Order: sequence, then C-alpha cells, then structure tokens
Amino acid sequence: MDLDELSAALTATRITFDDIIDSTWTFDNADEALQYLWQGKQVGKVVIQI
Amino acid sequence: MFALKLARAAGLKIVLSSSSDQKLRAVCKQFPNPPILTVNYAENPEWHEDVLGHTNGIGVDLVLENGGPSTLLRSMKCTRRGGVISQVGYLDRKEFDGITELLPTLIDRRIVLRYGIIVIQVAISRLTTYQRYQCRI
Repeated sequence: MDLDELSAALTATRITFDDIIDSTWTFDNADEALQYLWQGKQVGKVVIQI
Repeated sequence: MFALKLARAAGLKIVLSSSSDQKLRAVCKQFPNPPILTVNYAENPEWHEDVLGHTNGIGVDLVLENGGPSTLLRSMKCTRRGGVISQVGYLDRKEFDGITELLPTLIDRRIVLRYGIIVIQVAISRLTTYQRYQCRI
C-alpha cells in the first residue's frame, strides 16, 4: 500500500480525523492509556502525545 | 473508525458491528447522514443474518474483519458472492469456529480473503475518481 497515495487522497478531499479521537494522553501516562485501550471502552483513536 | 471515515468519504454504505449498543448509538449519532446500519453481535449470535437483512440477502461487498477465529466464518456468510474480506486483526485468538464449513463457504461464495488495508485502497480509488471528477468541473 502506498501511503503517499493515501496522503494525496486525504489532502485532496480535506478529510480530517479530529472527530475520531477518543482521548488524548500525555507520554507520562502512556501506561494508563494502554490499560484503557485494553479495556476496549474507547470509540475511535487513543492518542499519546510525545 | 479510520476505515469508517474513509468509507464514508468514498460514499460506501456502512454496516457497523459492535458488542455495545452504547458505542453503536454514539457513532450513529456522530455520523447521522446517511444513517449507518448497525449489528450487535453480542445480542444476536446469528449476527450475519442481520447483515444479510441490511443488504437484501445479498451480503456486503467488503468486510473489515477484526475478530478472527470466532467471527470469520460468519463474516464469510454475509459477504456477497465474489466479495472481499480484509483481515485486519484477530482479537479473540481462539480456535476456529466451524472450521469444516470454512473452505466450502470460501469456495461457494467465491470470497477473496486477504490481509489488511483494502478499504483504504477502495476509498482511494473512489476518492481519486471523485477528485478527477472535481477537476473536470
């Protein structure tokens, strides 16, 4: 799969993914974030900021 | 959800499955138009029948299969003839349910079973078509 192609298509259609972020965690809380992920309660993406 | 967004952008009709009505309701509320069709596989063990019901008994064109051994056979049963199943995970990691039915179903329904990211490819091909169309106008 060509990620460049994906990026081009996303840019062309201006799709954003902000609306599928479930939650954002700091890097210090990464352990907790992974625990949360394993619980399977999230809807969408679990983001860890670095 | 990433696939859902791409499928949405590509104009595909979506059948979404979850074991949680709460999650299904939340996603439907977030993406109301056109409405997303839903299946709760925990409530109905014969959930593939629900998917067939949503597609006039024909089955879906494309499955994003995330369950694995306990769901693949049912996914196959609700894929249209010649449809594609894209295996993106195997969350349950159990032994295969209905292993004896697996290959006959694969052959009967002419299913293409593959790994990964075909949804992205379909979305891209539709999106680029759309993009070309936009350019022409």
